[in-house]
Parts: sequence; C-alpha cells; structure tokens
Amino acid sequence: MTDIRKPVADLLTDYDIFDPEFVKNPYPGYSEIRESQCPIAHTDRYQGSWLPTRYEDVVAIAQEFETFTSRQILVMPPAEGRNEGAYAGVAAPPITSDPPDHHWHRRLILPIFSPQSVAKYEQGTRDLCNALIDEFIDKGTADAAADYAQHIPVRVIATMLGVPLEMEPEFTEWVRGVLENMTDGEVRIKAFRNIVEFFIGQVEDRKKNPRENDLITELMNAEVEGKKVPIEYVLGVCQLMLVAGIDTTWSAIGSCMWHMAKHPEHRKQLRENPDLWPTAIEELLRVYAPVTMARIVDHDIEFQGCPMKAGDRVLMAFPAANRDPRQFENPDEVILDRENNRHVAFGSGIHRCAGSNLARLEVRVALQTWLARIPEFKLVDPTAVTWVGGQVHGPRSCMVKF
Amino acid sequence: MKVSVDYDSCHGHQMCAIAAPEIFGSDEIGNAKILITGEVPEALHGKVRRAESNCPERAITISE
Repeated sequence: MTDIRKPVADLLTDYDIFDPEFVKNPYPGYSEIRESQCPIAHTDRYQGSWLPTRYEDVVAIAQEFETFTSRQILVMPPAEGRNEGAYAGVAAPPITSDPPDHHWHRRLILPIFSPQSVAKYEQGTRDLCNALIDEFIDKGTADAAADYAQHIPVRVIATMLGVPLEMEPEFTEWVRGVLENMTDGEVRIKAFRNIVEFFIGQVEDRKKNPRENDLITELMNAEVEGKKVPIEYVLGVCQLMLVAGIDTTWSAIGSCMWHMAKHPEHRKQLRENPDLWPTAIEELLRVYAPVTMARIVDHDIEFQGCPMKAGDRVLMAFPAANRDPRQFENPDEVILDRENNRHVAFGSGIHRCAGSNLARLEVRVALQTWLARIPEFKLVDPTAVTWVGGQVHGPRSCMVKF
Repeated sequence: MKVSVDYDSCHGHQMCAIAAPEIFGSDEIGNAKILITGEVPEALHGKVRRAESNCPERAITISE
C-alpha cells in the first residue's frame, strides 16, 4: 500500500495520529492542542474521532462509562470483515466490556494480576533479562528495543498463559499486526484470526490433556452464577493478555531505556538511592505512558462545547493527560522523586489496566537488571531511533553502545 | 492523623501502596486495603500524604 498522506492542515481539526512526525514525537502536538482554545480536537481521518488532551477531560470521559462506552477500544474502526465469521463474538474482555457484564469479566481476572500474585514472576523476569543481556554484553552495542525490551513481556505473558515460549516470533508478529499496522485492514484481520485460532487450539489441547495450575484451564472451568463462562470469554481474555500485555509493556520498557541512555544523572540517582525505584517507575510511566485507548459515544451529547454524536470515537490520550501543566508541575521534565503524581498511564475508572502491577514489575526489573550490569551506556545515534505510535507509542529500534 | 479509603472510587491503581507500603496493601483483587487500625504513626504522615496526592481516583481521605 502506498502511503501518500494528505498533509495535516490544522491539528485542531485535522490531526493524524499516524502522521510520521506525530508518531515519532506526539508531545508537541498534544501540547499545541491542549493549550489552544479547542483542547478537544477533531479529525475526519480514519472515519473521524475526537481527541481530548487535558487531564481533567480525559479523566471525566474515562469515569463516564455509560456515555463513553467500550464497545470499541482501538483508535481505528474495526477492519472490514472483523465482525463477520466464526470469531466475530471474540472481543477482549474486560477492556471491551461495559457494565453489567464488565463486572464479572473483570472480577474473574483481577486476582491473577494483584501485586501479591504477580510477585511470583519477578525472579523469572530477572533471569530472563539477564539471559538477554548475556547475548550482547560482550559486543559493546545492542538494540535496547529490539534485542531487549521486545523480548521481555512476550515471554512473561507466554509463561503466565502456559503456551510455548518458542512461539515468541509468531506472538510478536500477531500482536504487531493488531496494534501497529492499524492502517492495513488485511494485516489486522489476519493477525486477529491467527491469535484466535491459536487459542482455540490451546483450549482443545487442554480438553484432551488436562493440566494443573494452568491459567487457561482455570478460565475454561470458571463459573459465574453456576454456569460455565462462554468460550468466547476464555478466548477473549487470552487474546487480551497477549495483545495488551506485550506491545504496551515493551513500548514502556523501550522508552525508559531510551530515556536512561540519554540521562546519566538519572542512572546515578537510582544507583545512589535504590529506594527511589518504585516512585521513579511511576514517574517514567507518567512521562512515557504508551497507551491511547478509544471510547464510543453512546448518545448525542455536548461535552465541553463539543457536539459529540452517538457512535463517535473518542481517543483517550492518556499520554497527553499525563503532561498537562494544570495537573503536573514541569510536566515534560522527568523528576524521579516527584511528589504529586496522579498519573493515568493505566487509565482511570472501571477500566484501569488490569495488568498494571505486572507491567510496572516488568519495567522495574528490566531497568534494574540492565543498569546493574550496564551502568554506563548511550545512544549510538539519536536520529536513528525509530518509533511506532497511534494506539501504542514506543521505540522499535534504539541502538545503544557501552 | 487518620486515613480512609472510599472503596467505591478505588479501582486498584495501587499508587497508595507504592507511596506508603506500611499503611496500604492490596486485597484479593488488587484494590486498596488499609493495613493499620487507628492513628497513623507520626513517622509515616509524609508517606500517607504522598499516597493521598498520588491516587488517580482521589479515593483517599486524611483527617487530622
């Protein structure tokens, strides 16, 4: 597909979240919209959407789940054919669920992701990070995104799901197909079908060969009000864990690595004061929040002067909200011991990222392990770093030397 | 100082437990749980204020 984009005439009325410059660095654009007379921008591109950029507006929309529904949550409309065929009913609960079903869709998986539950993955994640570093530490150079960050969440999630780790390349390709190639409908559909077919195979295998201490088995056996949960729910949760648990977290790890490569003073600060880690991770998540989600407007409403119509898409620009100067002092600055940080990198309200405790564990362990073994490093060429954006923002190639 | 959590507003961000792990923990589904009864020890007042000012849902109330 040739990509001949119409130049953006005016960010407030014609923003393009897939514009290459915006993908690379969306923050000046968010700021321009946020500080304008029209902090909720609109575009007709990709069948149209609204883009709130102020913290207060993003949070208000996230809280109003009856008006701003999660019928669709991607920043692009579904690809053609997505809602047809045998898998049309497979969504990604609970992220794609609205109350009342949202309650049980979420309740069933929350215990898996509590801080006390995810703690058991810390040592495995550390071992994995060390093994990745072993591969390149003697070379004096590595791609912090492609050789390191990209491999961490996919293996952690595959371990959690009890699916073959050797399939990492396929999982990565499918997830990128769903989240990173959003303007190519065929790639998206194919990736989605691959994911669903893979998990149907996993479910069938478990019916024949029962397993113990197995997450997919537990989901298959889960009951709500005395009835087994539908298979679409099981497949949907598996899909969500793969799609939402991989690209997002590796993007966050990659952005943090990119930051650390450029900021020796922050590496030093963490070395000298390891107690700072938990606070520092929250600050890095604020500044480099990777995820933008969408909502669908339920009924015609005027929101902050914007005439929103039923069915309109609203992009929940959490990265923009996290840099609103009305909420955060010196919002573009990374202050590792920031005192007040009500960041919404994981969203707000009933759809708070279910995997947030796992994500922050992975980001922390990835950074700690790298910094312990490679305390000094820098970017090979700052202009050569490549990024993806749209739904998830983060580096895809980030060469560093040490 | 006393501290309370509005459990209807809490959605389990766990920012309170990061700021003040001596006072806040997690229940079975990852929502906030207060680990102490009665007064917050004075040495932890700063951490509890930080927990309050880091909660994205504004679910924490401090009374002094």
